[in-house]
Formats: sequence, structure tokens, C-alpha cells
Amino acid sequence: MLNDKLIRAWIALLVLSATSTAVAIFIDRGTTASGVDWSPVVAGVVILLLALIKGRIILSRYLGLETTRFWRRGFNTALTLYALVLLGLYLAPML
Amino acid sequence: MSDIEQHSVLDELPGDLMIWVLIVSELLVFGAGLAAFLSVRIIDPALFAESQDHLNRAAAGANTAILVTSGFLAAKALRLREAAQRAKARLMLVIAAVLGVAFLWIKTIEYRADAAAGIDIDTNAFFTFYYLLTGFHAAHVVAGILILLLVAWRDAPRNIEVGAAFWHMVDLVWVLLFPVIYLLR
Repeated sequence: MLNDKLIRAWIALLVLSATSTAVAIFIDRGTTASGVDWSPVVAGVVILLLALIKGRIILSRYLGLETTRFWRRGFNTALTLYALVLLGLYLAPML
Repeated sequence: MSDIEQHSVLDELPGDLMIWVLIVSELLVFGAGLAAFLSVRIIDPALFAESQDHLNRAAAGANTAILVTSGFLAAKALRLREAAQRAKARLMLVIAAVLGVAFLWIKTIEYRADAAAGIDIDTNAFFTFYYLLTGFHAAHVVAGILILLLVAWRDAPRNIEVGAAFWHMVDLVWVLLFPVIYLLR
């Protein structure tokens, strides 16, 4: 079952979604429940990075771009650049 | 690039070209909306953080799991139909649509909780964007549910491929919208 790329993609999306939600819930203004200092900058980068990975998985596995290098690279490049724009806008108030 | 080369590149796209035009268009619209949301946040990040605390992150996380699972079933349905397993493919599409209804049900619970707390689209800039973006996405979910049911009925492989692609677009928009609105503090 785990040899199926579609199932692996689905599991990866679930794990990544749970991880990003957990990061947001347990990081409250820079501090975790365990007292470890988590910078909101790091949290933001992690959350956006996980979103980018999820987007790439959906494009590749669900929408079938894994079969075409040209379009997969194009969409992934555009999505990565967009994620960087979002990251820049997110970090702007901290500068 | 010659006409022949252009044609071959377009031919590499899985499915119908027009669904990809729609997908790119929708991504641009939602992408602009999310960028505008974060741009306005620059003016008052404290207000946005405080407003975000009124949202139900766990419900939105559950909705993310529901939507990616529904997307998985839609993708599986296409594979099954291509393998001539029509009944199973139709079942997958119907379950995917039911999960879409579950998404809307949870979203409605969220909206009701917000309304009970006196929050509406005019409360502040955060909630204006929140209602516009999530509401517009929910409208796409409604359309997607109807499309999934339509292609379950008229189940030619090409129809299922296009219907599933629309649903994946809804999925893709949500995985971008969810972290930006619900998670980024």
C-alpha cells in the first residue's frame, strides 16, 4: 500500500498539515509550552515552508505534474517565488 | 520557439488545457487576496494577531485533513475509472463530495461561533479579509461538490479528470489560505 505514490502523498499532506497546525498552536508569541524560546520568525518560516511543500505535492501527485518536468518546474518555481513574497510580507512588520 | 515545439509543450500538461487556465486564474486571484491580507497586516500586526486568536485553528486543521483526503479520493477515482472500475470510481467521487459537505459543515460552525461572538465582516480589516477569502473559497467548495457529483454521474475518464482537477485546485488554494489566515502570527 505504501508503494502507492498517491497514498504516500496523502499521508505526507496529513502529516505536514498536522505539523503546521501543531507549530501554530504550541507557539504562543515566541514561547512553547516547554518554555523553549521559539522566534515567531522561525515559526513563520516553518509554517510557510510546510505550505510550500504541500502545494508542490498537490501539483505533482494530485494534479499529475510529476509526468512533465517542464510544467512541474514552472509551477514549482512560481509557487516558491510566491511563498517568498508571502514570507517577505509576513516579516515586514518585524524589520 | 516554433509552433511544433509550443504544441508539444502544451501537450505535456495532464488533462485539458482550459482547466489549467482556470487553475492558474484562481491561484492568481486567491494569491493576490492573500498577499493583500499580509500587506494590510503590516499596518497593525497586533490587531491581526489578536483577531486571529478568535479563530478555531483546530477546526481549520481538521478541515485541511478533510480536504486533502477528499482530494486523494478524487485522484483515486480517476485511476479506478482508467482501470475500468466504474462503480468504485463513482463511489470514491461521491465520498469525496460528502467530505466536501463535511468541510462546509465545519466552516458553518466556525461562522456561527464568530457571529455569536459579535464578529462580522465589518469588525476590522482582518475579519473583512477572513470572510471574503474563506467565503469565496467556500463558494468554490460548493461548486466543486456539484462538479464531483456531476462527473460521478457522467463518468467518462476525461470528465473525471477535469472534475478532479477542479477539486485539486480548491485543495491547493486551501493549503495556502489555511496557514496564512489561521497560523501565521
